[in-house]
Order: sequence, then C-alpha cells, then structure tokens
Amino acid sequence: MDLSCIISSGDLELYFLGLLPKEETEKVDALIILFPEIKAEVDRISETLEAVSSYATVMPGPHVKENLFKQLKELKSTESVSSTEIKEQQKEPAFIEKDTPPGKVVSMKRSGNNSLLAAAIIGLVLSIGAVIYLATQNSRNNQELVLMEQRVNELNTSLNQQEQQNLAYSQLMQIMQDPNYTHINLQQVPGKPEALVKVFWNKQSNEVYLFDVSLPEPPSNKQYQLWAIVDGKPVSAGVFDNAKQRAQKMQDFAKADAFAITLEQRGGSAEPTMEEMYVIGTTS
Amino acid sequence: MLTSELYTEESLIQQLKLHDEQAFNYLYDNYSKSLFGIIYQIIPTQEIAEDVVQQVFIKIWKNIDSFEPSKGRLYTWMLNITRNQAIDYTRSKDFNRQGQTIAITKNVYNTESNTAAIRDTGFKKILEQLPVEKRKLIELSYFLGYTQEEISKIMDIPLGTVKTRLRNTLIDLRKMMNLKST
Repeated sequence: MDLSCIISSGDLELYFLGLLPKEETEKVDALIILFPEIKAEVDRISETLEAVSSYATVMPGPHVKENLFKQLKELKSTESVSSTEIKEQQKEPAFIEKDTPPGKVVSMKRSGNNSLLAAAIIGLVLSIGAVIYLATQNSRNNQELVLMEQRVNELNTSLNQQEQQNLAYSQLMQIMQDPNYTHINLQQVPGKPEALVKVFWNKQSNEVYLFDVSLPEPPSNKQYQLWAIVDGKPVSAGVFDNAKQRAQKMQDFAKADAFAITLEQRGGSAEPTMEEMYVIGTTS
Repeated sequence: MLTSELYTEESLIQQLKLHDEQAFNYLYDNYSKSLFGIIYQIIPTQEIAEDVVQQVFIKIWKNIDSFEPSKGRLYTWMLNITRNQAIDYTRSKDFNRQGQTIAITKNVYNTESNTAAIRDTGFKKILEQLPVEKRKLIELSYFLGYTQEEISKIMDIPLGTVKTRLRNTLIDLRKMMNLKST
C-alpha cells in the first residue's frame, strides 16, 4: 500500500484538528497503530502546531493564578466528601409536611364545634397525602432503578466491547512485532475503490492472518474471499465479512507467491471471479 | 519548555495524576502563558479569556486521569483542551449575546487592519509570513474550530481543497520555523 496518498491527502491534518467524521477518525486510529510512517506524520503535525502555538504567549493577570489555586484547593477537599448527595435525598420526606398545612388550616376553622370531625379530616388528608407521596415516591424509585439497571447494562456491554477490542489490538500488535511474520501489503486493483489490506504470514508455522482497514462493506449476499496463489493457481484461504480493527485468522499456507481478495457470493466460490478482484500483493 | 530541573514530563504527569499542588503550580507557571495566548487569539477580551484559562486548568485537573502518554504529548493534550474550551465559549449564548462574534469575524476577515488580538509580536511575525488565504485557513481551522464544510463555504473553495491547502500551510509553517522536514 502506498502510504504517501494518505499522508498527502490532508486527512491526517483534519484528524489532528478533530475535524474528521467519527468513522474516518477510527480509520486513522487504526492506521497509526499499523504504520509507523503514519504515526510519524501525525507527530509532525502536532509538533508544527505546538511550535506555532508556543509563539503566542500572553500573560494572564496575577489574580487568575490566585483564584485558580483557591478553586483547586476546594476541589481537592470535596474530592473525598461525595456523601453530601445522600444527605439531600434524606430531606425529601419534608414534602409531607409541606403539603398538609393548607388542609390543616381549613379544617381547624371549621372544627370549632366538632374536634372529632377536624381530627378525622386531618387524619384523612394526612393519609391521602402519605399514600400519594409513597405511591409517587415508589414509582420514582422504580423508574430510577430501571434507569440504573439500563445504565449498568450499557456500561457492561461497552466494557466487554472494549475488552474484546483491547484483546484484538494486543493480538494484532503481537503479530506485527513477531519477526517470524512477513507483512504483505495488498495493493488496490485499478478501477476498484482505494483499499488498505495487510496479510501477515508466518512462514515457520504457516499461519496466515488478515487485517483489513478499508475494504468497502460487502452487500449482505456477498463476502470477501482471500486467495493464495500457489504455483500459479488460486487456492481459497477462506471468506470473511469484516476484518477491521482485528487480525482475522485465515487458512494456513506453507507456500504462496501472492495473496489476493475477491468479492464472491456468500460462502465463497471454488474459483475466483477475476473482475471482482479488489486487492493483490506478492509475497516476495 | 518541557524540560526542567524539577520534573521530567513523565514525573510531572505522575504527580499531576495524584493532584499534587506543587506539580500544578509548576504546570501553571510553565504553560499558562502559552495556553492563555491561544485563548487570547480566539477571545480577545482579557477578562473572558482569563475566565476561560481558569476553566482550562480546572479541566486539566479533573481529567488528567484520562490522559494517556502513549497517544500524544501532554502539551498537545492541553492545547486541545484549551482550543475546545475557548471555541465552545465562542459558540455559547453568553458570547453571542455580547456581540463578540463580530469581533472574531472581523479579526478573521480584516487580518490587515485588525490585529488587536494578535498582540505578541513573535506570533504575529510567524502568521504574517503566510499569504492571507493560508493565514485565514489556520485561523478558521485551528483557532476557531470551523468544520471542513464551514471553511469551504466561508472561503469559497472546494471541500477537498480545504484539507490539501491546510496541509500545505502546515508544511510552510514548518519551514518558517526551521523544523526538520522529515
């Protein structure tokens, strides 16, 4: 893969400035891990803008530092005391008292002659208030509980995803750093979309891994198929849907002159469809 | 700027993560001028810029745990927080209410006449060596955080040209500052 077109595209500059769309940003994240040249270029961009920025020095007033450190001291002292929230929650039952006084006043006026009636009314008002309060409180608690459960589930899922991704990355890094692996860059076939695919091939253990950074998403009825060209003949090395952000293990090969990827019907084909070849790269 | 007898970047980060006041003191003494300078480019009002720089250091304090040295340098990380905080401010209601947007746009368009914001002579010298078009590009993208689409509209150039021209501008800047080219 010719990295110079990525470097000269200006995308890395936009990446650094945080102006790339999310998907593209992720793509560059992967490129930085894969290619030291890309990492070096991003570092150069940051160095340039750092240098430009360092020319722009203006002194803030002395009171800024004073205020800031006052605030930081406060922050530090509150860092340990986060229990204040619990206290606030305990205040809530005061609502009962707040709600009842109007009822109380009305009934007192009328109860001049009949204190029993007054007591009954007060009792009724209080108990209705309490029922309403408890009912709303209960449903509110339930809602909060449901929300919290949802949140915990979300966090668990994203943690799992993160762990899987970390695992995938560390596996990828291991393969990349293993000197037994030959790195083969598969080049874009003319007329096909620009793509960046690497094959890692261990000639000792015969293991073949594939890492695809940017092949277009295949239609649902199709899959990509990797081929090893052995003695001039294509041999299938397996199909895959998406090998982005992780190294996908393909079939082992003891011998191969080249690797190529074609788009085939789901499940793969016995022979490659030559018009649908996207990328190819030789092993020597 | 990064080296000192007191701290290496590594030990500084370590102490910052522990919320050590002395480390923050050092950080402030060494970086506040430069970060404030950036804010001042974006918000040329001393008082507001001072508020923002304070918020920036508080953000650094609160988020230092999420800083990962493997992803980039501390200064780069702080610069990004600074730019974002200042840019966010220019997009807030407060700012628009005060009619400050005009000051900024003026600064962008009449870079010849209105240089009040660019006070520091070293910085002015660097930017002034760039052709007006390229200077605008840096101001819009780096200091004002405009998107590629917005810049393309404002400067009336095709979308793809924005990024290639931005790249060329950075290459020019490298040369001007005598940084190694490879």
